[in-house]
Amino acid sequence: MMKKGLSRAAGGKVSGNTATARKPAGNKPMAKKAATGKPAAKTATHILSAPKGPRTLTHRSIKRAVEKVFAERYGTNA
Amino acid sequence: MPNVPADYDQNVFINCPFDGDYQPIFKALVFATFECGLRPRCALEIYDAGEVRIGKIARIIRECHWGIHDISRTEPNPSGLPRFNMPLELGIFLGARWFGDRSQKRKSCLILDVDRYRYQQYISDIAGQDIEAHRGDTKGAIKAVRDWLGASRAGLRPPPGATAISERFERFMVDLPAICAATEREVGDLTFTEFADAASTWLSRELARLRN
Repeated sequence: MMKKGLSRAAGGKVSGNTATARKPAGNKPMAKKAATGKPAAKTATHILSAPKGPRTLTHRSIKRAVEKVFAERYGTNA
Repeated sequence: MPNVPADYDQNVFINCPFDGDYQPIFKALVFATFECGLRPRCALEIYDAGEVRIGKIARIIRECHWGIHDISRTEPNPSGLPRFNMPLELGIFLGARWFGDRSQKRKSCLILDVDRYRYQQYISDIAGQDIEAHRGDTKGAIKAVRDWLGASRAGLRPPPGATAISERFERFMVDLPAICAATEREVGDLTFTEFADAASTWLSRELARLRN
């Protein structure tokens, strides 16, 4: 309940005898985004894993085979 | 206990023929699903002999928010009879959406055929669903899947363009025999899970290369 003689501030809260006005939301400082210097990725960035099921090859051996093909095609720095 | 797994919204059930003639389109559907940031699922995951097959298929359907159903295989097999598995699994998917709980009611599906309106001659009750034509080629199938998932705001937003996906798919298929050879296998030896693993691993590697 509001005490007699005190005015309610813009924010509507009264703290002791001093009502503090709330800053309008528009005055909030914007968080600065760090510049990375990299352009935004234009291609898909998250590829999900395969579903579970029958297999005779481990994921590790498939990954090794893919790496081998990429190394042959594009060199070791691909 | 939740009725669906945590990755329900990321799972795409692929219901299609598995014969040799259809393999290029099936592989394209799997690849396009990964490209859109989602996970392909299908009846070929099943290996537990102790579970009734239709029960296993129903379980996978229950775990998938999305479904791609290709009903184009209407030709009779060597015995003179058509395959009814695809329409049956489509029926289970639509039934789950009609009679299931809140999660199941969110299900969405794409129905593929060779021509867009051919279905009216043999399964006209599905009128009103999203039915697209792939015209029997991989590019048509990739475009249909990409456009449908993009319009449904599923997975990556926005998904890569259909032309980019098709181009990468063709390069993956060129690399696949070499990937198999490195593991002393042939492409035809791969199980569905192994093929999907090769596709997702190759795609992750290719996208990492493009970013560098």
